Amino acid sequence: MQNYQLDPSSGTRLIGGDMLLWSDAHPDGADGIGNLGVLTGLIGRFARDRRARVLLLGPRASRLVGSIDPDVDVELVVRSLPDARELASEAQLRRSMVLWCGGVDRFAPTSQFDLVIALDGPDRLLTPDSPGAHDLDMLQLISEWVAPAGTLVAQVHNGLGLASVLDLPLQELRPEDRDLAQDAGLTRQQLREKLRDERHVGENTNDRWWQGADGFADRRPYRAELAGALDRLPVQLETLYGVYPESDHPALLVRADNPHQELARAVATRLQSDLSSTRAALIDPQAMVPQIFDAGLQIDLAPGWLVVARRDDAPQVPTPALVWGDLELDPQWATTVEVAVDGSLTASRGGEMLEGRLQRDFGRLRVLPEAGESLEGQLRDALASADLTRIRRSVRRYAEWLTSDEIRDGQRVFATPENVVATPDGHFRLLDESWEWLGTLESRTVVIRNLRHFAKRVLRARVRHPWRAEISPDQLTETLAVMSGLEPDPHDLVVVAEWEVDLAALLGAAEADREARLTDEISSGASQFTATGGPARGYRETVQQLTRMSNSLEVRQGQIDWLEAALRMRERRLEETERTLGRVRESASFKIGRTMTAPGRRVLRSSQRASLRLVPPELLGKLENFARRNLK
Amino acid sequence: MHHANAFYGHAAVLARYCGLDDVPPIHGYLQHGWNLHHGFAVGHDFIPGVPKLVWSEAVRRRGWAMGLRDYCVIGSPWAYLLAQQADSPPEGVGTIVYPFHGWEGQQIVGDHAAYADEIRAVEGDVPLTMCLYWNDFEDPHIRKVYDDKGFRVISHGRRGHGNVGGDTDFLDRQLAELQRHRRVVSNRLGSALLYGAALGREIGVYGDPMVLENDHAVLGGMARQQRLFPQLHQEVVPPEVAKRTARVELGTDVLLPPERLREMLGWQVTPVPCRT
Repeated sequence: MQNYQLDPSSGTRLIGGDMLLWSDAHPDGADGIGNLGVLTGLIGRFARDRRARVLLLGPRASRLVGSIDPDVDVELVVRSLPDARELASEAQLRRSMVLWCGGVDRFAPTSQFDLVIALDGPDRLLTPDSPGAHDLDMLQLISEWVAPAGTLVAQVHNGLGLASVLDLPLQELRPEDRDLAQDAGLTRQQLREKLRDERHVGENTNDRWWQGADGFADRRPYRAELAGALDRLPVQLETLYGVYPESDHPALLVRADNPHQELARAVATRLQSDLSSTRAALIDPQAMVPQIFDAGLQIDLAPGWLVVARRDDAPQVPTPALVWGDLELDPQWATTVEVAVDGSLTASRGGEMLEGRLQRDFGRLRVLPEAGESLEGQLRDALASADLTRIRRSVRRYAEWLTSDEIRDGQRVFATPENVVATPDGHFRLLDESWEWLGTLESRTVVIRNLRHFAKRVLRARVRHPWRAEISPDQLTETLAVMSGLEPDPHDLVVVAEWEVDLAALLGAAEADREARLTDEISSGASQFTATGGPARGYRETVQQLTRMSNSLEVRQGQIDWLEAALRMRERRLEETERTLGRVRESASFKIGRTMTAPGRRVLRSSQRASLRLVPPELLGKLENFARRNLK
Repeated sequence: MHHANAFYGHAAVLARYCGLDDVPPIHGYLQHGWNLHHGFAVGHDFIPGVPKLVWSEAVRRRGWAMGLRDYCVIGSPWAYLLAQQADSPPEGVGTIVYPFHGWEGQQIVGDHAAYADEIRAVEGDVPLTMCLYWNDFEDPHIRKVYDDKGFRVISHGRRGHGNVGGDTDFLDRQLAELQRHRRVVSNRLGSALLYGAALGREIGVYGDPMVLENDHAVLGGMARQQRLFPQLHQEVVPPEVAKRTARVELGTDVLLPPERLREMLGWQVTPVPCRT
């Protein structure tokens, strides 16, 4: 029997280890859960029976309570009391909900559950008052609570996942940073953003309370360890998904036997790239992710895994081969798409969303996008080749397609290179066709806007290009636009900036007033160092660029050294010549010769002056030129 | 040295363990009592980089979660005192009671007479010793309540303040008293109860827990103790549970050898860095 105390203000059952001044859902006022939309459809498949009992373990799984049929009995376990009190309001919308608060190690259910969901590891399931446990220990413990006909859905972080490869190790906040925050009147969230931008200072590292403590693992499990642990569980593995772009930001689930590899590769690349646009990375994900998929390592190196396992008696539930959703998009615009093995698509919502001149038609997501290579990747390869002819050809081809009849008017501005794939037969196709701009945008504005978007991304990623290293996004845009056959002027960039600001406002991403946003947007193109807040994306690429610049500098230094040596040699020769000339002038033969020829030279100079006086002044120049050419 | 390091003669016990005649200043903040917080008083102001010398891993983890760093788990001074005892403690007779106490800044509010009656009812006709904190001990009204109920009323001394007025043999006196008794009881979990458990005494927690004036909400009060240690809240705690809890909370299994402890306390020329 589970011992507990009741929290009178919420009805939460306190089981010990509860964290009174802690929130996983809102650490320092920020969102600590993220968008779990990609999981809701999948979870819904396993919780359709109203007689089922569901257990949601941890802060992230608990947020899925709203996506489970309100008639289904649900129990939740979270460790933070403020989070529990927030979740308690869900109880009013459900037939039955029991909320537990404390460490999962203290949870002792008296009966098993038909569906057990845990999306967090020991770092969020346990508390500082818990004994140490590894990720796989927790998996073992949780799987014991699955009923004979039940299903387990658990997420496990990968110890050798893409995130660990890409993440730039961050420093921690220092005590003096907090003093700075106090002096400047910054919230902790504002302080973290400021320091992250300035010197890679990290996120809230206080959530790593287990580090170095006995019993806790120093790292997450590897794939082989997970496979070994799954063999020992009382449940059978049904499906193993690779989770992208991050375990804490799941927006793509790829099944190990997914037949739509090209599509998964394109979506993963785009999501990883989008996520990395807001933080530092060791390696540019745009380059890394396709390699992982090409190598067939998309499960081994996935940032995390979603394990779907069932007891022998559980009914088999078909699972999609691929699920993807939107990353950090306002819920009113977001959706999730599931792709079955046979290629059929199911969107989590139908109809369309319309606000202002922005429309998203979810119905267009029912068609499997054509597979192909990312256009952004192709353009980046062209830039890296430093072959101007190739770059010009690629950019011109993109611009021609963008302004052709092959694409609908309203979709053009969303056909940014990362949202376009080049099919094997040489055509361009949109990856996500659901977005449409219902207003009017001139073709040249669309081309310039999309090239500017591309220019910002490549400069941010430190992609190699043939122009000077400190080129600004707007200068690169102008260069690419000229290559495409346009001649942009400053007004074009203002129009583009205005459109960007309007789009951000419609998507709900803009908080400041329009004028301030517009100023920021315009200035963001003036220098690649102000194009984006934060450090360079792609630390490896930055280092490579520095190496290239160092090599170039070394070559220039060599040239300077050579020129200086040549100059010194010329000076020595000049000095020798002057000394020779001096010796000649001092010689007796020279002086005798000068004396003997002096009368003749005087006569010659007098006759020259007389002759010149006879020539009209306007012909004097011509005569001098003639004499210089012919009287040598 | 922070003045709390000398509370209850803790620094002196550690110096003796390290084989030192004098008590050098400890480089760091030494946890001076068992608690469910980060090991120190609520609102304690720490100098960055100065080590926090705590009794157990759980304290270190809680501190980390609160944003504190520079923790070293060294075990409790009590554990070092026990490690210096050559002989096994005698059986002991009767029960010693450690009522939940306040301190110089926060007083305890409760009915001492009712508490005394409850103790007598549970413990039966055995010798009873009531050990009061010095400020309760110096209150003749409180002392008289227990005197009249047949308790032997004692105090182990003062912990001192600002390195003045502390009894450096506080823990030695406490050890002597605990060795005289068979049982140790209290109305709340606390250091003394765990000390008794570490010594192999039977322990029990029952009775009016009383209320601390202006108690800090962050500590979670008595209720949090009950949630975390439900098995300890009974008249007779199973000996294995008591010993296990004492081992973990007092760090009796993480004791450092004298030379290593000297390094950790900054009693060597070069202090060693803490693990976290």
